[in-house]
Amino acid sequence: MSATDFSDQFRTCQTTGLKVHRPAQRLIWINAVSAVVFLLIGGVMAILIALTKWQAIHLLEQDLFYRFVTAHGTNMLVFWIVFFEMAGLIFGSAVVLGSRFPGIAFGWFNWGLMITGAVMVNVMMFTGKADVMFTAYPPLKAHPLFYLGIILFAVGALLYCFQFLYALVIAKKEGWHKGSLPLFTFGLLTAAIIAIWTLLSGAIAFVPTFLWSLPKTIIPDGSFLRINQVDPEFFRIAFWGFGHSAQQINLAATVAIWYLLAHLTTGAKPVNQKMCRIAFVLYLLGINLGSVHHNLVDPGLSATYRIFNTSYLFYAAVIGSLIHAFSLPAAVETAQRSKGLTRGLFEWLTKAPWSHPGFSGFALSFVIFGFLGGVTGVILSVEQLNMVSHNTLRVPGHFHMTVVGGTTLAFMALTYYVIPLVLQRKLIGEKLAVYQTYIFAVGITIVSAGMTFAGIMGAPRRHYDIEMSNAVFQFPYATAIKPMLSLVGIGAIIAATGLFIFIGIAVLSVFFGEKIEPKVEKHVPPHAAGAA
Amino acid sequence: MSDNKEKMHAPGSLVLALIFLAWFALVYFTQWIALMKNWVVY
Repeated sequence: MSATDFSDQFRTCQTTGLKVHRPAQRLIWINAVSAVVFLLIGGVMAILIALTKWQAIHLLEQDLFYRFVTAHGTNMLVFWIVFFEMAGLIFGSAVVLGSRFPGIAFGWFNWGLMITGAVMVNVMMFTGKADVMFTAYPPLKAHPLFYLGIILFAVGALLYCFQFLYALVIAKKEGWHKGSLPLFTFGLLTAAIIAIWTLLSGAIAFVPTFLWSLPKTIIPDGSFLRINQVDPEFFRIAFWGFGHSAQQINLAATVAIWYLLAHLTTGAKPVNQKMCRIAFVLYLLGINLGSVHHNLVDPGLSATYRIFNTSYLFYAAVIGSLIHAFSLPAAVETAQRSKGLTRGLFEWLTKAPWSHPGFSGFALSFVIFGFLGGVTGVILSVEQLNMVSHNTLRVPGHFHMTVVGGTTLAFMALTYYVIPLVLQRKLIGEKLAVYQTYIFAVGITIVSAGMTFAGIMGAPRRHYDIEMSNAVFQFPYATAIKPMLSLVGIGAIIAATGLFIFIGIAVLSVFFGEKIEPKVEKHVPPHAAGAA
Repeated sequence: MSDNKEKMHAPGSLVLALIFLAWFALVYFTQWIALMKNWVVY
């Protein structure tokens, strides 16, 4: 088949003028809808856990608490975010470049692997066969189908990453796109490259652990596949090669989305494209060894190894973030000033479209991720401070600022564009969407602040009852710890309200929103050899 | 070369970046002090 054989599979977006490959649009739809389903599951778990951490309420029983923490972590950190990112990869390659997405059937197969894995993992978790937390550290052992589900999901995502790279090649080769990749697609490219490393590292962690979890009736003694023990330190290092690198994927994707939202809402363009691209490349260089900050208290690793990786190497990635931290507001400011908003230092900011959920979501996400999440993350990665922060509620305090206040909020803001522009449905509850980003941002900031301060006072993470009521010795916590844990509960109620409003708007719009009729137009590769 | 080439003029963003750096230093050292007071070495 030649490129022109796909020419009648396109429509033209009437708002942006982008050429949308309609089979790719269906793949974006299924991945985005899958993402929101797992966001809902994770969100319900979140409110139940938070109302248990709030000591005065202490909602769940002990075993359900650990089960739901596992389910919350896995559904949110893995399934919600990765399904959304897969939708983003297809969007960033096919739609942004005006290209066809190659291998549509292969894309559906990859989604099939991911959804099968995700369902398997959830069934195992909710039936009590995988109360091992998201990290699943040996010697904790879950049911084999838990590990198999994660492996299937990871394989599907990995294949999607390769398909995305191939889509970029096809876009160039067949003449759909000419010249440099747009910055948004470039950011997604760095995310995809990190994802390949991430998922291979995950395979190193999870494949032996899956074999270890299989009973001797399936793999008998003497078989070369029989693994009787998984070294916990080996697993931890391999796991965090997957685990933290996965967060850097989220960071690269989030920053790419910030540039896109800044452009869509204010017309912002990066003031120096080269610097922005260098910053994305720094993410690639700095993160992999920097993941060692999860192993700062592990025995068997030298202090030199840990400090070198979490200081010198990790800070390469931090410098990348600092470049974006100036580049993004500068892009918005330059665009706003060119519209005449030049009074004083900040008229460009005060007169920005704050009532537009795309801009408010981007701006709030940027502030929470940078001012709160990034700062606390760098602090946590300092060896000396990590010694007294490890395993306290400080750690989830930090990562709720980044993953939830940062990445999830940015994804929500982008969804309000994706639904009408890509999924072709008018938004239901558009006015409510304006408030949703603020409600969610305020809620998650309160949750994170409560966790951070409680953690500083010594509250442990992943612990059902910080008061350790049945213990012989009681830990003398500061009296302020209880109000801090109350903040976690109160903030969670507010954040959950924002979350459920978002899910309501998204689901109602996607399934019941007024259809926007597609403008189907033939589209041939404009830069193919011999093209007019 | 176009005479209308966009210039970067972002004094507000520069101030925001400086505020961010000041905030970073403040949070870093207050957290260090708070942790130091809560986890005394005996």
